[in-house]
Amino acid sequence: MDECRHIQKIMIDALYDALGASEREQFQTHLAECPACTDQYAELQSTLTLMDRREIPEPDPVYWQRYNEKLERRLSREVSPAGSPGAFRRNLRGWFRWEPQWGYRIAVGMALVVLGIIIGRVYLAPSGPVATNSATGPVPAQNAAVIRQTRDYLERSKLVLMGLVNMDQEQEAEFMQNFSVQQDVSQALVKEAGVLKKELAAPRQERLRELVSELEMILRQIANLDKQYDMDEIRIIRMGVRQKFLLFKIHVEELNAAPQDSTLQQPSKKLVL
Amino acid sequence: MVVRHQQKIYRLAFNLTGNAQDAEDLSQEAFVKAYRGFREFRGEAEVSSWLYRITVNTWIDMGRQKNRPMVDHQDQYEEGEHARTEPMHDPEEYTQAAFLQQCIDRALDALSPRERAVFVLRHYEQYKLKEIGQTLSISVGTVKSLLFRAVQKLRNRLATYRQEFDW
Repeated sequence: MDECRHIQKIMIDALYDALGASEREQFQTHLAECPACTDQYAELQSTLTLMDRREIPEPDPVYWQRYNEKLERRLSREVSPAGSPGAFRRNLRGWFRWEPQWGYRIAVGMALVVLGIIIGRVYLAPSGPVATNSATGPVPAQNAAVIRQTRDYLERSKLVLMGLVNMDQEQEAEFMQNFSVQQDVSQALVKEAGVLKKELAAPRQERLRELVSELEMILRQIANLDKQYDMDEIRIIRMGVRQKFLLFKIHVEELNAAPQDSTLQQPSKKLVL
Repeated sequence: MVVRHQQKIYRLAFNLTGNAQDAEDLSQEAFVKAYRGFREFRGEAEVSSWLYRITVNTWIDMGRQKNRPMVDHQDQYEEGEHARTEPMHDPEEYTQAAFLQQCIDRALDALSPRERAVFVLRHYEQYKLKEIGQTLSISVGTVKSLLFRAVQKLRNRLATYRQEFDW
């Protein structure tokens, strides 16, 4: 009975195939001798199989459009700081909408070409010590966390820059009324950049380190903007983002990161809280 | 951010709430909270994990406000006669597939919010136990216990329909 109690404790791990080798052996040995535990295990396994048959509706694009409009209205109503709701809605664009504009689509196309070249060089190279699929190379466990951190840093930087780059000329004045959030986020990102640059120490991470440095410079400019929001300065910053191809470079890193995910065991679901 | 993550967050919300309207409400509430909290977000977690955490905790808070059982009230949700014999719609009125969905939803509804959150994160979102613990701010031992209890309750709820679904 004591053994049954122990088996009960580890049964959930067995159901989700999370037992270590010795425990698995112990579990299987016990099941071979204990009909009660065998029955229970089989029933629970069947239950999980049945639960897999649950269906989740996948809303169509029309639904998402309505969803986003509703969310925008709600944000305008509930979160909007000083300024008109219209201005606030436009201010959300960098945070809210990620559909690339035409220029950005070209950048995505170019990114795919670059990615193809990178993959070609890596996988079709005649010889080499290690096959790798990204600028960061194979990911040892100790580097996985910093790479995830960097990816996240890039994602948040992208949010700030997208808001700046996608702003229409006519909407600049209104947009800037609600610029304080982006400034605060930029300030935080500048602080993080210092730490990240030190942690990205491996030679293969040089490109990421340089990108973080470039982003740090631009984000510092945004964070240090005068509260009067000189539009000329904004335009200069925006020009800097475009001239340095920062969004393009971030996108390349995102594309490079995708195949690397397999080595990180589903990092999108990793929690480092 | 919304466009990038909305489908995953909606799917999570649907798994937690069990219906489209509540899933929409929950996911939108999560995005509103995320927008409010973005200023304080320092990148200790990935954005998607951060959004998951907000969504799950928002749902648990909603359950608390609606006086749903938060501490796994054994008297109300215990396995046994009550759970097994609660009448359900006549299966002949439905196609088998629709009836199965309803049975599964009913079974999930019988879980406490924390049990359901743990089950959904593990079973449908493939979170590891440690990650679930971090999301819900509970120990791995508690996660295991909640998950095992959840699976047992689901088995008991669905046992009535064992023959109909041939499992």
